Amino acid sequence: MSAKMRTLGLFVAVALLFVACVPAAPAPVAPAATEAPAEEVPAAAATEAPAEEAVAAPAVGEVVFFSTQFAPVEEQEKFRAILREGGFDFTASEEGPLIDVVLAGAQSGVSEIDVIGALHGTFPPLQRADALMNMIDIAEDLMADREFVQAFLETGLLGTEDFLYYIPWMQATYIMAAHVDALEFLPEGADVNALTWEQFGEWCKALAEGTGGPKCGLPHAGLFHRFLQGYAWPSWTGGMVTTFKNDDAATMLEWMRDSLWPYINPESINYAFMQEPLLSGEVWVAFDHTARLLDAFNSDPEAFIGFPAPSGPYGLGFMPVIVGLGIPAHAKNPEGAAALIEYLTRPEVQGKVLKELGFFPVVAGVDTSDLPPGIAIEAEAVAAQSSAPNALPALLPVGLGARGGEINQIFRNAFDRVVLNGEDIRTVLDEEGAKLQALMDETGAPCWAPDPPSDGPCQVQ
Amino acid sequence: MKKRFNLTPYWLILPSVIYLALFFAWPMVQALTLSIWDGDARLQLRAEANLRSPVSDWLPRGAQIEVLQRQGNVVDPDDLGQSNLRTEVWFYIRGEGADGHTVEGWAPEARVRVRETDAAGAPTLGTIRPRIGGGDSLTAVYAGPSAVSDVVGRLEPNTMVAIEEQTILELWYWVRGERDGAVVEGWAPSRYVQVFSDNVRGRIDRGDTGELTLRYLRSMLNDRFFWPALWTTLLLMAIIIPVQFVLAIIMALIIQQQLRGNTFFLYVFAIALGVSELAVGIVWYAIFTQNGYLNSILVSLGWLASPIPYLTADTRHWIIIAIWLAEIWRATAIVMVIVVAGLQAISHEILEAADLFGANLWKRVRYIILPMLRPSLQVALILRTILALQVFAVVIALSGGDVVTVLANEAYRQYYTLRNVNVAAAYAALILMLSMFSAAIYLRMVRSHEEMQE
Amino acid sequence: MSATGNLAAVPAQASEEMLRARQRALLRRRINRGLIYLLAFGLCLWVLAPIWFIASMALTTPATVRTFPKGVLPFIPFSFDTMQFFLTSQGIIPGLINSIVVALITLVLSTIIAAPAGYAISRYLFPGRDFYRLAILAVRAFPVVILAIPLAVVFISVGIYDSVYSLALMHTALTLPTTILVIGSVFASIPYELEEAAQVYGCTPLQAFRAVVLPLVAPGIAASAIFTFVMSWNEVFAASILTVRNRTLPAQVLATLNQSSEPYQFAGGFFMMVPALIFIFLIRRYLFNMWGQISK
Repeated sequence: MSAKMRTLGLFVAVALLFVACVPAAPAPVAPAATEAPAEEVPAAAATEAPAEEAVAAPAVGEVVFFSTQFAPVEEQEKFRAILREGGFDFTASEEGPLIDVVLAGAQSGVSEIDVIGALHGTFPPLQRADALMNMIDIAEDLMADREFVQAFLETGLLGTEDFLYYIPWMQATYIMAAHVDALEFLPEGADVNALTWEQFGEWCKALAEGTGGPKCGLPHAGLFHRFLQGYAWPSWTGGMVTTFKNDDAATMLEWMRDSLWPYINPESINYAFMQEPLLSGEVWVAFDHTARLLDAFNSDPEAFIGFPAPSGPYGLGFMPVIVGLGIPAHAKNPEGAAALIEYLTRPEVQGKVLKELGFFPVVAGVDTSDLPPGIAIEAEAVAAQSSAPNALPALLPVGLGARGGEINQIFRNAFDRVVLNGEDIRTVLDEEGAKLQALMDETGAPCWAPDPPSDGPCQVQ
Repeated sequence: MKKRFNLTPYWLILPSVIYLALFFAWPMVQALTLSIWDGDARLQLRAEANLRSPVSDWLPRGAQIEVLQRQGNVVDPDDLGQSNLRTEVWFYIRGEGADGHTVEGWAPEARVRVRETDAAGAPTLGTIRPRIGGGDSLTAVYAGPSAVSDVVGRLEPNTMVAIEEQTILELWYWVRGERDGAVVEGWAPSRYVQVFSDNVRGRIDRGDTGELTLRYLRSMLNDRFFWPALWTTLLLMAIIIPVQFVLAIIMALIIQQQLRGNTFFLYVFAIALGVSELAVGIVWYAIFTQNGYLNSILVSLGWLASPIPYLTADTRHWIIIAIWLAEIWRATAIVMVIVVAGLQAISHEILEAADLFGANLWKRVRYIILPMLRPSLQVALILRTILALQVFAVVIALSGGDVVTVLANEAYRQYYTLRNVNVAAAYAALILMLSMFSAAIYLRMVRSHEEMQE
Repeated sequence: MSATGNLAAVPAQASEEMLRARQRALLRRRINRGLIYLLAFGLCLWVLAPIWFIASMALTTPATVRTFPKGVLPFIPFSFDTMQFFLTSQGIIPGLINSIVVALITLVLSTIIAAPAGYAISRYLFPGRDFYRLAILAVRAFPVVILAIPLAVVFISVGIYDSVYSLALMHTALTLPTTILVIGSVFASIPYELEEAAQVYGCTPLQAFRAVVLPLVAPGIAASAIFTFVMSWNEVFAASILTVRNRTLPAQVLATLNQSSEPYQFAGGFFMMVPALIFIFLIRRYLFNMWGQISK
């Protein structure tokens, strides 16, 4: 026994010494087997001299970059390769812990993180706690030599006039994907690129009956609320908040309960992303995020097609997903942070992200020729969606502050209670509508697209 | 068991008490109070536009108000360090307007970007910031450092301006609102007030002082997930824990039989300990999903024609069964290891004597082993119950978290998805209470027995 | 095992019956034994099957992971690709080292602080004993998510944020209740008479403790060591909050595992599992009493 204890103790001591003496450098310590596309920095790539090692570089230093995007392991490595060319690195994180760390940094006056990259919805809780730096000057400098999509800069204001909480980094949207075998089940006369929701329901029904089981899928366990807020409600009712509980909404829920959900694969309650079910054949038609469908398209471009979401009586409702870059208020290296943001918003880098990872650029001037076939499929569908004659863009909720999650829950409740639990539609809509109104009143949030602008809190009719 | 009263036990437990108090006592108390304390429910109104002035009245958060007056107090640079001060910086600038005339007046710092400062750090030169977002791209320049004074001119973006003066103001509003039917007026710091576009009406955005409230507890109880989560949690505990204990005792007794390959069996039985909750969720999902192992085996054996979906909203009983199996698989090892450790102390002679006198296995278990295992079983029961109340990764993996949910999942949802710390604290308090309650019951059940032994 | 008496003194005719009875008893014992072996193997299968599944999915091609019906004969085709991808992802080796260091420090610290406390609650009936036991359980019973921000703020303010040592301190706090109670329960099973007896024979209380009680309580310490190591090894939440650059393996791998595609989920899960299994393998002997009651 004592011999083993001694060796164990020795091991502990060695490990402790190792950790204490080796500097805590996150820079690639073990470059052994990783791909090394550009270990040396191409001289023309950056104006400063970026650093590989942790502390050596004078100009930029080490920039601690946390991102909630590119969390899957495969994507991490691809993105890291892109970053490495500029001399940067990143850490993937879930949204919850990231918000906690930034809030803790704001409270204690010291932020360990220099840049955060996250979905739009991550920023309002940070806004509420004054945890972010105003990016307006950085934006002004960047706008000198590149053109951002104006609408996305505006959403970065989070409802204020002069405080820019994030600089738009990437955009994505939700589209539909289908296996080519599913096309033969399309209803008569339906054009897959211009479906209506009713036709979609019939298609799913034909698939279910023709293949012995439901083959359409929805990511109920993922960002399903964006589907409801940005695609379902606008298409069927023309609005999001103001029309939440009107009769059009009731019709829509009835249709979903009776004509759609029975033909949706019931395992959808577990699907956060649709890639796996599509690739394994559990689902033949799916609605999902462009970046999440990329693997399916790339692995077999001949077998899958992408097409815009269906439209409803009021148009083709769709919602862009915006990812932004922000700097926490007491970041240790704001200059390095600005350099990273400058790097990531360059058209060339945005082009690389598009080609490899499926997130679309937010600056003009990105070279979109010669796209890999997977991205080309997606880009076509995205363009078809946003430039459709009846396109009805829906914006992300703004002005709800830290309570942005509640509006998502309200929409999900409306769907779940009616479609999954079978409750009475009018009761559910009235109850959830009352909660929605209370939320609007308590946060004072004015209406946003597709609802007409309001003065004062948005009203549910 | 010794029964002397001396200070020794207190010295022995002191390190642990200090350690845990340091790490948990204060944050836990803080977190628990969050469930009944609304930190910014009331906005205090003052007689004068000054933080040092006494509080005259208060208005609740969300109250509709009218802004009747504004006052910008110049802030002493010494006071700038205070954290609850929201200041506006105004610059007196001079620049060239679009028509060539010189415009001079006051503009807020939000509209002017400082380009140069003098030796003392005061700004001297700046440019007008471009406006992001809709609205007038021209920046208004005012006669006085206030947005409601007269506009003396407008400047275009990127105009170079000389900055001649700087003043730091703290903006206060004289508001009038209603509370309990009576009209209430007073000065309020602007940061807590949201003013609508007509510059008169507004609402109290948040308060600066708190009150005790039951609103979060009520919110938790009225949440549509509360009762399902509670029942599911209790149900799962009731069907999982007894089965685990029986299984664990069986496993421990098998070990005790000293079969050949004993340590192998012990190791295998304990393997589940090393698998993280997330991985357990992943693999049991892979078993129960439609194209998963269970269906694969059944279809290959010919017992099923086509795969059945188990984990759906219409087959919640299957989801419960899947969770039941996953949890039994995962956590039985915890109980088993504690029981095996406890079995060591049971004297071999007593068991042999019992065997000698003809006691069969069942009698030996019931009358000797189980009673002597009581301390270990008690500890295992307490720990297992507490851990069972915290399980949620498996539930999320097998049900998406909405169709079947447990209390821990709800605490997580309130905290991370809805960012509602107070209601999350309420759920956490409930979990804590349930854990303490069951632990107290288990302790009481054994204590009387110990006292009998003396 | 059990004596059936001295045969020599029994008359010859009765010995025939006794022989047959003995044979029947032996047969019954063998059947019982066989049944027990069967049960043991059955339980082994039950525990090993899911591990088998994870391993086979982790060590095969992604395409195989998605087929239906899933073959139960795994490792066909065998492919180390996903695992290799995992192992060569950035930060895995530093993460591995950090995790091991944190787990070992936690183990040592937790045992040192908890052992005296365990002894105290088992041997002394002092006022406040029950309250103490409940109070330390409260630490374990409270969902740590809610404490995230206050704890992070405390760590940042004290200046020990983002270091393996601070994470080890946090993990020690989380595992103290388990360790105290498990060690205490094992102490409680050891009759105090043993210590008294040793003292009668001339040992000092400390010597009595070391020579008599300590070996008997080693299984308890081993059990709590396993819990502590495994808990610290798999702990995701505090690791995500309290480390920024010196991430442990769970903060890097487990934290975002549910967003990865299935083949990588299996690879990640399998990869996280292996070191914990190795540790349990190393410690398993100590779960048995040193003095040969059950040890092999």
